[in-house]
Amino acid sequence: MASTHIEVYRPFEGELRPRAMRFFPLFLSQARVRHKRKLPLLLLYAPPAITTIVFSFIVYSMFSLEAQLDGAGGPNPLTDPKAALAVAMARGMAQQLFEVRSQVVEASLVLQGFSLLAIGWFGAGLISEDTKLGAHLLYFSRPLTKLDYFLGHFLTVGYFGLLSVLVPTLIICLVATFSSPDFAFLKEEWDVIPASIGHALLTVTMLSSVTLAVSCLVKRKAFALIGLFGLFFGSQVAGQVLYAMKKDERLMMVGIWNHLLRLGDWVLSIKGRPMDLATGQLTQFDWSPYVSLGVVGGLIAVSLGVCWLRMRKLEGVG
Amino acid sequence: MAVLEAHKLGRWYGQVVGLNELTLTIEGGVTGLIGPNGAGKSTFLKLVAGEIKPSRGTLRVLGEEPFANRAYFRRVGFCPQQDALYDDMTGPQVVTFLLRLQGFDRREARRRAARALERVALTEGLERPTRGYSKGMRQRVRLAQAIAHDPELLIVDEPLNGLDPVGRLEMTRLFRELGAAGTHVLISSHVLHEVESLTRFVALLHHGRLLAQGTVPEIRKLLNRHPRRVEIRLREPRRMARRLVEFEDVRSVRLPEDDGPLIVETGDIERFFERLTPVAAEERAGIRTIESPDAGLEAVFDYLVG
Amino acid sequence: MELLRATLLLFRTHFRRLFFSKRTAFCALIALAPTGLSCVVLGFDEGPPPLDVIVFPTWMLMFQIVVPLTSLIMGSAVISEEIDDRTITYLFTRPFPRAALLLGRWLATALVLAVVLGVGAVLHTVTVELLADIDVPTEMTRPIVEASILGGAAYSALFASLGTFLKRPMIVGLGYAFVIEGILANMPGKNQGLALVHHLRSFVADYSEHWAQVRQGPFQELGTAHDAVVTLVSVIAVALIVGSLVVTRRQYVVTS
Repeated sequence: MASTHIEVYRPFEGELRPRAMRFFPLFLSQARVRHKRKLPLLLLYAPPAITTIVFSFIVYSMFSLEAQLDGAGGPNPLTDPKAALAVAMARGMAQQLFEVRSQVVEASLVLQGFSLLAIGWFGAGLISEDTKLGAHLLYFSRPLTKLDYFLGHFLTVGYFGLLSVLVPTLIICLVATFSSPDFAFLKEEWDVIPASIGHALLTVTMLSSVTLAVSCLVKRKAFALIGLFGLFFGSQVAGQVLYAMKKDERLMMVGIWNHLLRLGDWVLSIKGRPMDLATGQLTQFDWSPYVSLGVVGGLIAVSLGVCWLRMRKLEGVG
Repeated sequence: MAVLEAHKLGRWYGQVVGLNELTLTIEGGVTGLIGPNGAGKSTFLKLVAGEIKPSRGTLRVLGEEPFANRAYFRRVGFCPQQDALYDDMTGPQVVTFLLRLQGFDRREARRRAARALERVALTEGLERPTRGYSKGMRQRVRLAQAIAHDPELLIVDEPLNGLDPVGRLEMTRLFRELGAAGTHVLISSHVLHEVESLTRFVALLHHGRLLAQGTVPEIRKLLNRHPRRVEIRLREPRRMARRLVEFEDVRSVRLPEDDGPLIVETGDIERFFERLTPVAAEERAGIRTIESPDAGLEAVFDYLVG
Repeated sequence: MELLRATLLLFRTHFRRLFFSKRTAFCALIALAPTGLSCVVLGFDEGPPPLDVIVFPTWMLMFQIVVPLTSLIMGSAVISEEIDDRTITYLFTRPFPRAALLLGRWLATALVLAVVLGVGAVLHTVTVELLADIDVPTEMTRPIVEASILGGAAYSALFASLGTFLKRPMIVGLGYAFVIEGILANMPGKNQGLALVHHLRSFVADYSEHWAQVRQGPFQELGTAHDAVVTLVSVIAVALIVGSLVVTRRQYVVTS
């Protein structure tokens, strides 16, 4: 005989409030899963780790070889030998700071290359594997918006990218700060820190957006990797081919990576100072950095647009 | 000669043990392979199908060692569990292609493909690529490719998955027909009552080991720990209960609540039934129904695995 | 079923499937890259000498990116696609030599690649002829087409063979084609011979003097066309033999 037991249940009288930042658990779980496999982490982060150690050592040794400045100020440097020595040492310090800054900038640009590998490896399969396995249905059958889904994946891939470029750069800056006498690096060259952070964020944002866009368009991680590396390597080679034929440096703009280098040079370059001993471009590209900013911005916008359109399709059933 | 002889068969995947020390002989006919998830059924079937080879022990099927044995593959048909087909080909194209690989010429392959698809009751909607098929249609295509070349031994892994009740009925009928026609069928399934309706001979796996083999009544008899339960609906339960407790083989008698049955547990079901009828007649108990709910495969399964 | 018959059956079936697939369309798009680049360059008022528009894109883009990339996309799928799609179960429980699967599918792949890369190379030349209003000498065009086809066959055989024993052949192939070959082929010295792209370059350079402008720096020591053909054919043979042996003996465990 059938029966019901409604006395057990009380009617719900509250309201269902959507949890804020629903993308955050998604990001945490993705990051946790990817941290479980040690071999990719080792292979992808060993080079940046080694780079960090090498550059930190260079920076440290640059400071440790120089004598400390001995209470400046007071006597005329042109007549007083002590004052002259102080000025010479100050000049030496400025030169030293400049070279240390160059090392920091050089390290930052080198580490960008590793960020492409890390972002590609950890990010290329995020959406493509979801689509292949039908796992996106699990997400979208929950109160998760497209934005939450995208942000969760974007944070995941951005996290691994920043680990390979921003963290090492900040470590090198930290070493420079504490190695320099009286934290001179922080006082005199403080702008390289926000500049490095800004450039790293821009690089990682662009690479992450492009990676997720490519991942949206294919159903296998391997294809996404091919698409991603093909895009960057292919555009670089195309730029080189065009340059080889036309000998016009502006044709190097075809290479996407060159725009990141140009922006790095612009954001991180040495500013003119009275006692600068060298001012020079870190790269040979001399087109306007705003062009590069436009290209990078445009690429981010197009990638986000592709992601949005594909996710609208994923969100729908059938 | 036995159809299948496995002796101390073992198969592992790295650290994971799929099968361990499995010794089993199957004479022929329709045999059910049952067990919970992770028991090793699919591993065993893949070994029998020749897809993988044993890590230890020996396996001979139809007198041959299965792995990568072309002569053996001519005699065997395998329907795997995974839902995988060539998505850009139609069902008839898939079956025809696989028949061509079996060695048939184009015309014969087409004819056999059509016949096999008819046998699995798949005759409509075939012009689409298989990516557009329902789950049941895809399952039937997989089955069709396994029977199209009239194998001596048919190996089917969870064949009733994805089929609606009518489809399950049709497939069960098909396996019975194949068994009756002389094809040996080795079938793994979770749907115990349907395995039971197909065959009496089962092999029960658990944690990669063979837990039991034989017909269901024989296995049940061996389970001394679990007395047989008999439910009797009758007019005079108390009078009957007084007599039944005197039987030596009766372990317990439970009187019914309200209109429920009298529940008896006995260690020797055959002796119990021999003595029940005359006693019931003497007492004029008015027996209406007698049931033995734990005689079936599901009960045997629960007792062995639970 | 004997090896040859099974190989031909698999070749015919998969050629039809492959030719009209999205994968082929994508590769065709990649193969048009040199043509596209040439259109861009010849659109300038002061363009480079027309034959440069054949030389540089072929040397740097076609042989170094297009041929390896398309071969990777097509070749790595020869066995791995059957494993990923879990259809290998049906095939390896059939009475035909397992090596036929590798050979038949590879033949289909090589033929499709030959069409895609051959047409790409021809289109490149024809585009330059039309836009620059010149006649490109046959001793330039024919070797480019032949080298592209042979390169496609060699790379695809290599990646197909990798697919018989690697879980992710495309990723390994990516590393090989762009990192290892990129380093080996562009560094001066005998190590260039270890890169397939070096042999493609040697093949074309042996036929015409028009390649002289790229035969500088690390590219001065190139082999002969005959040696290049022997090397590439040997790579194909060794890759297919090794792949056949692996696929015959290996167990492919397909998860449900």
